[in-house]
Amino acid sequence: MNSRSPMVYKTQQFLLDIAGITSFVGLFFRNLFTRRFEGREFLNQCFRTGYQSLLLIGVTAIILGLVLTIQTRPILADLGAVSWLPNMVFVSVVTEMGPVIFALLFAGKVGSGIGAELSSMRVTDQIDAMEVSDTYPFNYLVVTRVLATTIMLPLLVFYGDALAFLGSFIGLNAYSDISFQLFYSRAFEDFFFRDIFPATIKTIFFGYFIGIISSYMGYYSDKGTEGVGRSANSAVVASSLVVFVLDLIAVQITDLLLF
Amino acid sequence: MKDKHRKNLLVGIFVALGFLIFISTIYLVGKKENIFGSTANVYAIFKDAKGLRAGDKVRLSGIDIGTVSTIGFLEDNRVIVSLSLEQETIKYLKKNALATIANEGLMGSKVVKILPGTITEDPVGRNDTIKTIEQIDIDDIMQKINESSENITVVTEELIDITQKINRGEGIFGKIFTDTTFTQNLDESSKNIAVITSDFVDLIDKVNRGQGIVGKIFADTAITADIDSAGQNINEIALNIMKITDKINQGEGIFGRLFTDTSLTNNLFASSQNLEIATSNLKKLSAKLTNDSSALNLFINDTTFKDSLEILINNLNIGILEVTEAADAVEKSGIVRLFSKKKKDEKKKDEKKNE
Repeated sequence: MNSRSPMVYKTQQFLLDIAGITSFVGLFFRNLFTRRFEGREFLNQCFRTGYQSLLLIGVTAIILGLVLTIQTRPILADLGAVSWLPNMVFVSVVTEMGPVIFALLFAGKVGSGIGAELSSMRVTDQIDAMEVSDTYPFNYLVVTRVLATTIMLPLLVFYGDALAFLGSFIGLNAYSDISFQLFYSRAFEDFFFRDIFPATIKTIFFGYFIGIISSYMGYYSDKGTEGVGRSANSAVVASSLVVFVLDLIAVQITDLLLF
Repeated sequence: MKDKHRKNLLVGIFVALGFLIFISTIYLVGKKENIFGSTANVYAIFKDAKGLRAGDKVRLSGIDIGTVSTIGFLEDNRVIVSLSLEQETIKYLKKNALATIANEGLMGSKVVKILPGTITEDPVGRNDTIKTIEQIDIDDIMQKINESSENITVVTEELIDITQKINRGEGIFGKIFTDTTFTQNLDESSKNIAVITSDFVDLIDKVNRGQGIVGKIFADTAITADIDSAGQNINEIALNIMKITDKINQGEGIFGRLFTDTSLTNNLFASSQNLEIATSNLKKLSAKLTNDSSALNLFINDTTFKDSLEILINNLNIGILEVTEAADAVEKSGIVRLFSKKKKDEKKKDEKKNE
């Protein structure tokens, strides 16, 4: 009989996971610089994680811009500050809402996919077979995926920001006849580099950690079909949580450095 | 293989477009912050930065021309603000341009506003320091409001005192509101005013009908014609006076000479001097006449002399009468008559010749 309580077991498991992810990060960088780079698989992963997520991110972004504008407009209209709306929506989407929401969507779509794919390979002993055949599965499976998520998420966020900008314009134009030039000029009125760069750097970290955590969850999955589902689920939950934690840290650092 | 090629192409387009969006955003923000254009630094020194931050806008006559690049302290605790301005806009900033830190909106964001200065001044150069004026702080306004509210309190207290006095019937206003006789008098006065106004209405009516002297003034056209002609005459008189004064100014006529000819005034001055001397002499003469014992004085003043003179004249009259009588007696004598007859004949002959 196991004398340990579930709480202690979970805490122990959590700390073990942290240690495992840390060593996984070390393993990633070691393999990135020492082993042969799998270019074709990297492009394949870019296609799957980036291009195939564009529709999801794009639709969400347009709706995000539209909804934010429609919901904020009456409040600003009461204050007589509708002219601030483009800038307010754009800055909030670019600095905070865009990176976080798109990263969560990315974690849900791509993270779960990576977790499920790698765990099923583990379950079916494909990874073991690759290790035996000396093809370095870590490099082929993990490094390419993590690199793809690291690069693709910022690009998806750029797309998302642009489409949210468009959605905001459509939302505002439905109520007041505003030209695109005026909308653009007002949106960029109080928009600075200090809004772009921290957000972009943040999304690079989001993408990297979504890739690393999802790969870790799948790569070291439990045996059995149950393990596949758990890995996919854990990949999404842990990635989402890490996105928020990283966001918190990023906001603190940005605030400390720029303001 | 074909499918892989298509995938790679789509990834390429996806990545390229993503980076294009990113670079476009960087360019647009950079253009706004004038990172890609040439800039010129100008400095402004303030006592208080009022929460101004690097990156805040700089406005010249309401147009964004740059941003605040750095903010730092001087040795005397004043704040030096470096303004990064677009190169082409710096020529509009004159040496006497004034910078001030103002609120951009209600939310407390700040902006450096520059008043360009007078057009005749030289433009500022790179790294020049422009003059500044301190904007009225919200705390100062609050202080003024506080002072005003204190004054309002005093005024309201005094108003309360006044209204209480009025309620008690003190003073003229108190009487207005409480004294019934006063109101009665006021009522009577208003009735009188009503009568007066009624009379006045009648009067105006009479005037309108052309009755009385005022009515005639307004109704009778002959009077107005007279007034008009009188006015014309006055106008003519005024014109004549104008001509006269013109002539005087031009030195024409006696008055003109009087005002303009200096020789005449010199002569007049000399004449007046001579007159003064003459009057002085006359004065001396009259004094002599009254005081001295000269013959003329005796003649004028001495009464005994007058009496003697009268006796003399009487005696002379008597003498002359006696002489006349004696002459008549001689004429009537024979010798004299013969002599005078010859003469008379000669005289008659001459008269006949002449005829």
